[in-house]
Amino acid sequence: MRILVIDNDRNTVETLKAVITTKTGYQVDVAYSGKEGLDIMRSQELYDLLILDIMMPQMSGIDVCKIMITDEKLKHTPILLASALPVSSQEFQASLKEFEELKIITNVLEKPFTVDALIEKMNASIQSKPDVVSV
Amino acid sequence: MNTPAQSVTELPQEILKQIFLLAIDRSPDAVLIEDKEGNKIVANKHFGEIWETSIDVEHWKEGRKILKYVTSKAKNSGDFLAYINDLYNHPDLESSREIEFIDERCFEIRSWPLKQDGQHTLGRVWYFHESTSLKKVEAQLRAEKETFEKYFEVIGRIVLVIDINGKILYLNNRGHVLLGYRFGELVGKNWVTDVLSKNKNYTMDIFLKTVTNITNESSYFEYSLVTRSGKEIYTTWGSAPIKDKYGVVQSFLCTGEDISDLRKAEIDNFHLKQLDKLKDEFLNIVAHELKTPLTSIIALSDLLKTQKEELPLGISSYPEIIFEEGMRLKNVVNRILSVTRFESGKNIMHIEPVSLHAFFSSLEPILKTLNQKKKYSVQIQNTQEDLNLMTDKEQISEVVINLVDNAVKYGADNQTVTISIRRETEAPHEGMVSVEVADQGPGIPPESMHKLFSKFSQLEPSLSRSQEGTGLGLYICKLIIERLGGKIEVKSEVGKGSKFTFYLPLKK
Repeated sequence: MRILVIDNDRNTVETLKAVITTKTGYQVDVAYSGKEGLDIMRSQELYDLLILDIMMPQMSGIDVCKIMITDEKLKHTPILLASALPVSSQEFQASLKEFEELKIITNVLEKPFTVDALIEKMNASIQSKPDVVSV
Repeated sequence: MNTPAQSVTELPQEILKQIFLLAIDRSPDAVLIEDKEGNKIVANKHFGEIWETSIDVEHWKEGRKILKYVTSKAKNSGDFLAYINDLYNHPDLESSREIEFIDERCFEIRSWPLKQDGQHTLGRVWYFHESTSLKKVEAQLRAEKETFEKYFEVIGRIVLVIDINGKILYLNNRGHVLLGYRFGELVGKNWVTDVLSKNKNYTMDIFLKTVTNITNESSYFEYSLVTRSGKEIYTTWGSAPIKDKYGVVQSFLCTGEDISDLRKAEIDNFHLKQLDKLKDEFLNIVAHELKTPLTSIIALSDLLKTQKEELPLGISSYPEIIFEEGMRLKNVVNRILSVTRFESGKNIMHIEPVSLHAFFSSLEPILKTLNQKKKYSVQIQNTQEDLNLMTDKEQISEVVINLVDNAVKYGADNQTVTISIRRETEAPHEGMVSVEVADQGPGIPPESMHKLFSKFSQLEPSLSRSQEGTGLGLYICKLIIERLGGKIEVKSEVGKGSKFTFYLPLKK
């Protein structure tokens, strides 16, 4: 299994990498911005899962999703959204709504999370490959 | 009447007399002709009817009796008598005046001397022209006008009548008072050039245009007026044309209502909604700022807790990450608390003498190591002579650190942040010290300048803002500087950088 983590917060990236590698042994690649993440995904073989932060400078996680669903290759990557924004917040819900029918976002993980919660959501996401509708 | 036609004078005496008597008798006015002694020579029938007396010459033959009789019926008889006597004493005078009688009838009296050959005075002619009905109509109109004026005041609106050129024919008291004038002061002035032009935004006579464009219907519109003292008031107007009997529009009746309070409530409501939006934004930012460090603290400690037999990968870096994130959390909490304390006035200042030379020497190493992720240099340009302030050292450090931290955070790598300290010698900051923090960053767009120092203001939308932070930093700086009796301001140019300057009073 190959997993890509995109988050601008370096310590969060380190933490995710430590938890995932320790608990699952999956291969974890990292990117610190949306742009860097997209570049990596385009140049590499399809990842089994993308763990994507929402609140990021310049290009937000939502912007990354918008680009991915228009990309023939990338639209097949399941996404686990990880956000410190309260999932119940209006802003978060409004952003999610846009993607409701697109199924590219397979799960949402609210920060902070426990190890078990992360592993559980990851596995659930990997199993539910996105049912992509072309845009 | 003074100069009879030439042709008439050439007629024989007898005919002239007949014409004369006929003319007098048919006159709609009461006519009385007296000789020098005041004896009646001739009075027409009308005269007798008016005074309900005989016009028989013999009856009134005793000097000046007839007019004295008339005088007794006047409302102000003493006055009237004095008037008549005056004319008897000056037989050459021509005169006219109005007189009201006790039975409410009004007359216009005219009197001419009667002369022979234009020189020798023979007597006096009196005309009494009844003006009772005219007076009545006038009084009625006056009463109606007063009633209308009362209505105009009672309805609590501005009532304005202007002619087609904007000349003010009428403006009620409320209108005068609202605009800052005494009642009547604006009547005769021009509504457009004397009143509306007080509004600086006024460019063309929209008011007059709107009003005069309506020829049949009435219209309704909003208009912003500026009073004599320069205060802006919001008004709504209704207007209708007033036509003469030929259907030609002569003037416009306009009524206006002061809706400033309503408008103010609307504006307040708008601000409240904006604040509410800001609050939501702030909650999102705070949630993000508090929860991000918690992510590493919780997940890493959870991993350590569950992986007791086999050590987790990269374990040597965990303590540092947990410590860093703990400190980050502490700073966010402190910042929020700091704002709360400042706003409730519970922050205690420790005022002491502060030497700016010593202050910046001790602060310099901190400023140079604020940000580990960026390369930058800090240059401090202090004054030659040492300046002393009575202020709170800790608070000022917080402001300077905040400003430098912002400059580094938002600026490019390898920039120089320059701090210049100056003693201000000119107004408006004379007697103060200024500290300027100048960066070579991206600058701040003009449209964002106004909200820089306001609470919760990060200039970017919270989902994709470029930097961490609560958006409270500059707000706290402003609170601190103002509390210490100073002022903070910013000058910025997009692409060139920003200069944040705060001023503090020098120690006296």
